[in-house]
Amino acid sequence: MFKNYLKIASRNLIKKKGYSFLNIGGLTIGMACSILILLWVRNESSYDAFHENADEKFRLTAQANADFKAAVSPVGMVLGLGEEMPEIKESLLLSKPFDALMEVQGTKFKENAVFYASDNFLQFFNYPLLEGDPNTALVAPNGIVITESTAEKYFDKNNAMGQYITIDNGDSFMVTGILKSLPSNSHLQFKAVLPMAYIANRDQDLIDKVWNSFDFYGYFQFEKEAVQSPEAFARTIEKINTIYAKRQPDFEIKFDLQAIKDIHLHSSNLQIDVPGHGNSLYVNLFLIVAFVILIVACINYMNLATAKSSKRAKEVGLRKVVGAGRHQLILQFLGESLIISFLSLALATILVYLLLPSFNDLTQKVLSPQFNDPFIVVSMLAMAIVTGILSGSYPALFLSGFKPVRALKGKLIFSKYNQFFRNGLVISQFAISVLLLIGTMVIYDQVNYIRDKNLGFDKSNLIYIPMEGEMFDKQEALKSALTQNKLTSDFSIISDIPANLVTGDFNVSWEGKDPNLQVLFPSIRSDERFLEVFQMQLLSGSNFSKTSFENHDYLVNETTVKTMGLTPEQAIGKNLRFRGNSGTILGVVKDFNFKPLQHAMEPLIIQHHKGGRYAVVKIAPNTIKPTIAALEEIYGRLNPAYPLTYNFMDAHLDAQYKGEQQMGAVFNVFALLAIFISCLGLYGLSAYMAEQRFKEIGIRKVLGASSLKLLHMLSKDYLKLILAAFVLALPIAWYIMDLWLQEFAYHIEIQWWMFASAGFILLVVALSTVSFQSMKASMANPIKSLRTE
Amino acid sequence: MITIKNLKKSFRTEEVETLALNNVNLTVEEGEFAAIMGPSGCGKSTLLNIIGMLDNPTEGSYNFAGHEVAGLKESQRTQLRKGNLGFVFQSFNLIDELTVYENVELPLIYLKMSKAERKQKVREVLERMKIAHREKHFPQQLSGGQQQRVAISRAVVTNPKLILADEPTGNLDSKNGIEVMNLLTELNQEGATIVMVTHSDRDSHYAHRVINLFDGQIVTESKNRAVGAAL
Repeated sequence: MFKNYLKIASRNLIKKKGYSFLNIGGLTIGMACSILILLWVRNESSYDAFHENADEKFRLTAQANADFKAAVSPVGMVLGLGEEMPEIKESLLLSKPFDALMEVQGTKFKENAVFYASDNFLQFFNYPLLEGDPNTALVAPNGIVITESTAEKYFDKNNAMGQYITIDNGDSFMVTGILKSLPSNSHLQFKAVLPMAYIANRDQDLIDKVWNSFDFYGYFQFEKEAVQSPEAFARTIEKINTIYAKRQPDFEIKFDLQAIKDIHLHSSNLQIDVPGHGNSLYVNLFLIVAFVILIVACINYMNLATAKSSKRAKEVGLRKVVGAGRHQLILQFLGESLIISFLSLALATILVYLLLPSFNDLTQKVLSPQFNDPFIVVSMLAMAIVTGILSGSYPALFLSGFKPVRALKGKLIFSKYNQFFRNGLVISQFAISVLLLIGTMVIYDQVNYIRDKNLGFDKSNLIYIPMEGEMFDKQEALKSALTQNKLTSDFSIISDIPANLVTGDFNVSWEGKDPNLQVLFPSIRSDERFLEVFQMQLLSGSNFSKTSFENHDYLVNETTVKTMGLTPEQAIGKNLRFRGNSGTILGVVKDFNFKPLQHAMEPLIIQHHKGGRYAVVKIAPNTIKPTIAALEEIYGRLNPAYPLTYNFMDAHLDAQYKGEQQMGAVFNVFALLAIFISCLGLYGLSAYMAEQRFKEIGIRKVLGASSLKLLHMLSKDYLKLILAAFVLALPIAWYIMDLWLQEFAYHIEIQWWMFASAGFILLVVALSTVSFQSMKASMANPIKSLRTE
Repeated sequence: MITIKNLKKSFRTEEVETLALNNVNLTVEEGEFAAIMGPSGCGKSTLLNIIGMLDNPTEGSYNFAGHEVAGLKESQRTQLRKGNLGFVFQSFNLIDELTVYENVELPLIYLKMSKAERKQKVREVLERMKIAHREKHFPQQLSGGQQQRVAISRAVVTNPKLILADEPTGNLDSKNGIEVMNLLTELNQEGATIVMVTHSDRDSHYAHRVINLFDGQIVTESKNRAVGAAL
């Protein structure tokens, strides 16, 4: 029996090549998209699951107020909690990542992700070691653990162990371990790890074991019982907070524990954190997109299969006459759709292989087709089965229900219910297309908005260089060298780049401050040229001058003044106590964005300081190359041990929205594909409708209707469907896109024209798709359509 | 074999009710060859469809080989039909995607017969209908007469008690038509009961009995004196 079905199915596929192409093509594209998204989602949600007992391991996070949450903790706390909490099995201290200049036999390498870690790092995290002992590699203060690729870059791969690397032109470290290439799904990505023991006597936080300065990452492994149930977990967190409150009664900080498996996707609300996290919102969004694309492809199949139905009616009638029961016919048609869905799965798998490199480019991932991952394989098989059954169920029920006598005569009367159902399918397909189109437009507009938003300063033509090595102590020489060259004379020295400022102090007071007010004040230290180079606007008072007091003269932004309850004018001359220094507000600067636009404006204190960690140079138009050459010359002269690193301010700012841009690009591609698949289905459906009305068209033509009139008549029906879909999609699109936009403190408003253009685009695409079939039908010779018997 | 009593069939569209069969009483004995004649729209095909259990009567009773058919559900009718009935249509109604062999095999598949048994039966009947040399061809590669022979093969392959033929020669030229009628006669002589709807006087002469329908009612029944009188 099955063989017979297979025969019929395959012969039908071969015979009706056009239909087969539309059917299988739609399903293949849909499935390939879904598999790609599945691979991506699988990768995104697999972060750090490879560590042993990952469920027992957590990272400590601290929340200062409603807006400020960070992944950093005080050293004393990370090291001390274990003594008071026996349920802590293991504590791990990790420094913030930093840039290091590595030197091996005279060759220098700049590495941008190096950590200090406590000696149990390689036991706590299970990064596999190629060489070395995980128990001892980070014990000696002068050891260094590097990754496989770093080892290959520095040394002949086989004898890196025991070799020496000089760091920042200072001490030498002996390679005590080589890590296998880091799994891409680890939230920590680094080139080398240094022993915490090295800075144990150098870093003041470590020497004092402080509980009030948040500069390290703390990880803990707990006894299972302490974190397994939600109640126990809440008790554990409560205990941590109680211990901290006892130690630091004046600090109102709330601590929380973040499962290491959650770090990658659930850290978007953390302001101080290691870079490179994903966002659970995008994972969910793309899962929905994958599902939606598959649904669109299924609807396609249903529409096309019912479109074919009048051609298969005779077969159905006949099978019934010779003894087929309805269930046998249902099985036959389900079998057919399963065959098609598995065929599509096979083709989709090939397509995934072909598309993966481009998809990896698009998503900046290194995904591989993990067809040995049982989860992926089972998901794919399930996808094919569900798609087959879902897409085949309606045609199966529909076709098997034909009355044999009528089916044999080709006189099929389609019930209102069927008509309603099919229209419903088309409406949902259109609605999904409208939804995706609107989504594409909103994301595109928002990404553009972020890129072009006036940040309150001019980000163009700004180049910044970090003070590294000897440069930090040669700032006066640097300043005079920069001043002397006309190309570089427009510069400022600042402590932090106003792109993603992560500083913050509660310790700010002024006369009349509400003692209960707990506001975090980010700050920047700068020289007197900061406002000029960044072209910021002074609202009141005056800028720093060469005679301003270092550390004691302040500029503040508008939000600070508002927080203080003053106007910009009133604030001038007011006394401000900040970090233990008492100083005066000289001027008020118009608010400018010093954090990514996801965050709302916060107060800012600009402290006058002559030295800094960055020199920012404003380049005159069309002088980029000579300016860089000049900088290289100056840098090489003053700081010969370090190669010059420089960065453009606008590029740096844009890079902050890489995630959004990538998501936008991926979303675009999938939206276009979904619309394309819908069009395939629409094409089939219009063929079906034209077929249904073949006779009517013939009669109308005999009675004198023109082809144009008929075309209009046939297209009118689709207009109604598009309109219905449009109305259905609007509120959903508005809701979802508004939800996404709320992620940004600065965002566009959804505009009516986005809806209008989505509707218009769909109308044009849909009508041009159907008009082909309608035209064919309306231009056919009426004799053909009337001669049915 | 067939006893029909006070049978009525009406079709209802949104506003109009059409009475297709009105108080039909009919008996067909086992081994009989009956022809139903009448003008277009008189209800011939409707009657044949009810006899063939493809349709249910609105009122009245229909007894087939001791089973009351009126009021059975579709699945029950399918069950009863399987293997007991063979259909021959005016337009052959072969499945275009299946070969001659596969078309004839189809009813046996639904009877869940083993492959070997099917093969034997299909071969037998194809030989007999002199179409075995075409078993790998698809219907569209055959002439009308050949197609109808395949259709008859399919109708008789299950060895049915009753063969129903709906204008079996309607789409054939006279030479092929005579051939088909001879085949039906042969089958009848071997014991099959045949009920045939026809427009053709010539074909009706092959039957033992001619039933004339007019406006859904049997108006006359006449016995043919000698079978094969037209020959």
